[in-house]
Amino acid sequence: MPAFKLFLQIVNSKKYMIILYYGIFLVIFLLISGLTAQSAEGQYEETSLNVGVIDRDHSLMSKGLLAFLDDSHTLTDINDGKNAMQDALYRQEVSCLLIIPKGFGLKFASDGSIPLQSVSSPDNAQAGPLITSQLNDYLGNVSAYMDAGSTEEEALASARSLASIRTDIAFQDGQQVTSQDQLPGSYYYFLFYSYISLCIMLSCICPVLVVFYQPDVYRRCICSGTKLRAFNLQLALGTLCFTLFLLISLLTIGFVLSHGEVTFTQAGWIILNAAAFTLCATALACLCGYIAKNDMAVAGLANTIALSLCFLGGIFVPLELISSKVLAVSRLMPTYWYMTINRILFVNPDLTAADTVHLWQGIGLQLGFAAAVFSIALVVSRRRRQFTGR
Amino acid sequence: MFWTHYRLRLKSIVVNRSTFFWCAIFPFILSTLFYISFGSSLSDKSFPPVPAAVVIQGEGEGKTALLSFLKELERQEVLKLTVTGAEEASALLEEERIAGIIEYYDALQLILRSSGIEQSILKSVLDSYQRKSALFADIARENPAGLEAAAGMSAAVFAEDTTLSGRPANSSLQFFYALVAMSCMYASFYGLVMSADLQGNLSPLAVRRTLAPVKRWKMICGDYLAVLTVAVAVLLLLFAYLAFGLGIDFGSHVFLTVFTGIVGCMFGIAFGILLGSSNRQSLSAKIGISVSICMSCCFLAGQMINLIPVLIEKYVPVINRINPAQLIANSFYCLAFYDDYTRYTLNIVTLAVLTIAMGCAGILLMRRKKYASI
Repeated sequence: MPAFKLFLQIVNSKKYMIILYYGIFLVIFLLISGLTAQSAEGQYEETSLNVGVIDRDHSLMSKGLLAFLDDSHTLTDINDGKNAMQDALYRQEVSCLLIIPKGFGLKFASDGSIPLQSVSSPDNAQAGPLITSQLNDYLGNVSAYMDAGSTEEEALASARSLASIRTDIAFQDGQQVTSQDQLPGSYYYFLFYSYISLCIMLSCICPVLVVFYQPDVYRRCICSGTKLRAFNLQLALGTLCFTLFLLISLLTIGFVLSHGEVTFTQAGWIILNAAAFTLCATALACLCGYIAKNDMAVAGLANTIALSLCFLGGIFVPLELISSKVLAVSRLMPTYWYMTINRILFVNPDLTAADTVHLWQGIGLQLGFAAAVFSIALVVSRRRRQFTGR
Repeated sequence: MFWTHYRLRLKSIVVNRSTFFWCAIFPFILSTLFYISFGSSLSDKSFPPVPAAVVIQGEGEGKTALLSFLKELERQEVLKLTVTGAEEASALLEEERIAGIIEYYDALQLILRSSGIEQSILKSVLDSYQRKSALFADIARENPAGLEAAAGMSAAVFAEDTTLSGRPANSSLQFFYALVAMSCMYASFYGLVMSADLQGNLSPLAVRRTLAPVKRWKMICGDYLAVLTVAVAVLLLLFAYLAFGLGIDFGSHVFLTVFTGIVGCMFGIAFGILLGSSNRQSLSAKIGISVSICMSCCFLAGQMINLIPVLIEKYVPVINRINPAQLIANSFYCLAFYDDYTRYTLNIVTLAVLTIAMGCAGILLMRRKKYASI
């Protein structure tokens, strides 16, 4: 099978790039999995921040509100100087700063107020508003108690005890739900599997087709004793073997590294999801291989398509940040459905009937996408053959 | 002769469409993609109303008060409510058309199906309501005369968001700064092509150039200057597109921002020269390796997930100190958000040292090569 052997030779010439991608992927996975917390079953946990504190007041009021913040966040004293504050933010030692101005307690007690200041880290813009919101709530309650006749100490204590009042949370059908912050490392491994599989498929399958469809090579092939049909079947076999190799190797590594984070049912769905997505990646690789004319074009197409699909599909960017108009386009991408299925499997591990319907829907859409792209690739390849064979 | 090399190299770069795509077109495509994906968060700080269902069984003062409170929030466009029965609400939640169900039978309960920003907002709103209710119940019990005074103050503002530099923080800028860093690092393709055209065993053009009676240093300098000219020109266009087209804030230090980009491009070219002259792989293999390394550096600089540099700074900070993409992105951060130039200077000096080291190593590997047979 000369075409199959040549396929393997060309893929073999890409082995360093494949090893590099695998290595980078594993390093990134180990980085993320080592840093993510283990999931707490069915619990809802509030966000806890590292807050840098600059207390210029040192009054009873400032100590009281710091005690309140300490209940749900980690406080760190920062030196009172612009350099020290900027250093703390720059080195990510804290997510935000809280500056308590001098005279705050005195003004607060006399019905005036000097506002507290929260400063967010430039790359964590939500931290400051969260602290501001909690402080406004707490100090509003303190002020209300004081206006009703309580002393400063009593008001601080009463408002702090109010802060322990929390709404009861229940999950639908009593199922376990894992919050976004507590997803295990294996969630991210199988999430980024989509990007890596796209990169590798596009980088390895496309060059093979580029070589075979070079005019001289193609004309020599059609003049040879091997029938064109056998030729195409061998190429398809080579593509299938490589796809299976990629799927099995990456999934095996994923399941080994997950060691117990994934249940049997989850594993089954993960395999189905990954297989459907890898088929989409194969289809895209075939289409790009028929379009690209040289290796540089392949590299350009591979990265553009992989990054575009992953960004628009919500692999890198949370869906909450994407506008509704863009989401309408995202739903056409296989990455969106791959990510949705992955999220359902890890956020709601106890699958309901509705979840199962969503899973089948997502897999069906990915297979539909693959079929559509394969059809387009066949049309393009036919036209390419017509022009190349002349 | 020097300017002849410069002119010819300039022409050959512009004509080479593949390299031109990587260095000139790809960053524009990616920046547009970023802007489409989450560009609205750069200017629009408001969050859309959170959809929720309200299921209240029975009557009572508490339930009426809750409903008025929720209706007021709907009027302020914080929530989008559907008052309905338990079964319909459950169906809406299963279809993910609402973020949660606010249920009040004997006690207030929030029913969720997943966990995220919308669910956090719902919980926060209900916590605030319950605390205010407990507050007024407490005051009414202990000191009913103070109830009216207490009601007036509870909505006052005591804390505000501010900045140290006068510029508001924005988590999305991380992506764009890392994108510019990527554009600088992609100048390595020019360096790769340049090194391939200077080594006789790597391309036919290099064979002819090696045989030419021209000093090698003139060829290297002419090529380098031409490559740098194109890389800087593309970078300036990218800056203009990001700043004026997409509204990305690079701060007010225009000269230093451009200077950072130039140093970044010099690093990219030096890296390309080193990679091109350090091994005998084909050009396409080297391009593959270059793309992998550049994308990895950019990933670690937060181009795809903005939390990665934070995690690296916490656990392996040395990577952030030597990752060129992170050095470039951090330099932009320092110029935009910090007044002190110490951190910026440290980043630029580190980048310059890496550039000089890689450039010297690459040129040393290229010089005085002799070929037995080509």
